[in-house]
Amino acid sequence: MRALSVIAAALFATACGSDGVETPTSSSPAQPTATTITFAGSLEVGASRFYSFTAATGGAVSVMLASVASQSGGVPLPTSLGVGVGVPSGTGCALMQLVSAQPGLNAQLQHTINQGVHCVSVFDEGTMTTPVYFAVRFSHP
Amino acid sequence: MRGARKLIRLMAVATVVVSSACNDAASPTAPSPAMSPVTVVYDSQLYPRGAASRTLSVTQSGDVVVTLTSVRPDASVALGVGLGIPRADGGGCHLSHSVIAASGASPQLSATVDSGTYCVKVFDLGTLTDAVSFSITIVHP
Repeated sequence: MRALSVIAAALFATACGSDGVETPTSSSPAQPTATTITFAGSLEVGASRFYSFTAATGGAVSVMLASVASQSGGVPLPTSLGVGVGVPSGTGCALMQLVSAQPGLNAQLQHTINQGVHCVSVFDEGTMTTPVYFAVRFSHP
Repeated sequence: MRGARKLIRLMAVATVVVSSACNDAASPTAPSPAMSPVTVVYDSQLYPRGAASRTLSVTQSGDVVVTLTSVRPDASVALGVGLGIPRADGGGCHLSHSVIAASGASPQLSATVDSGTYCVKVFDLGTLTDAVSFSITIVHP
């Protein structure tokens, strides 16, 4: 009888083998810190502006055209502007992805980039009739 | 022979006990709690042709709701109220939205925003002749 008790106990001990077994877990890699930049200025009719930055690692760029405002009084305008992400080329920014963005407080453009130098561009799509102030907030890896 | 039968019976019981003990029923995981909205009351003064702004840190996307609750001493005075992103130099806001607001209990301005830092700006519409005190309530995620 004692032998049977021992067998039952052994069954208990071995049948739940997945419990209590320490599986080595690799430490999760450190998350790259995103850098947030506010790029603001004036934009003339028919013009474009861009801002160059260096991505320390590959990852997502998120771009928000937060504000388009009149140069007289800074009144917010519903004017759409072109917004894009690309790489500096000569004296410009060669766009890899672009959108037509209405100003707002949600990111209008997300794009995945590799490590290296990139640029965010803002441009008149042909709809502006007067110069405006713009403000873009973007984050990059 | 009797001993063998007893052994078989005990083994069967042990198997049932073991299999029920190893029942890895998934423990219910609590849903991540929804963050309660944050309410901020901003009281300040506004001078003729002046502006005042206040930053807010939004931890998750959602609606920002702004109510100009009072203007003193003259509650009938309308003020400009806007929502945008802080200027990089700390000198106010790049406005994305603005309204002409008369004080009251109903929200005059709301917008859906991503997580991040934003600002609310209160400004003279060009009608103030003396300083006024105002109170703004901001509710944000």
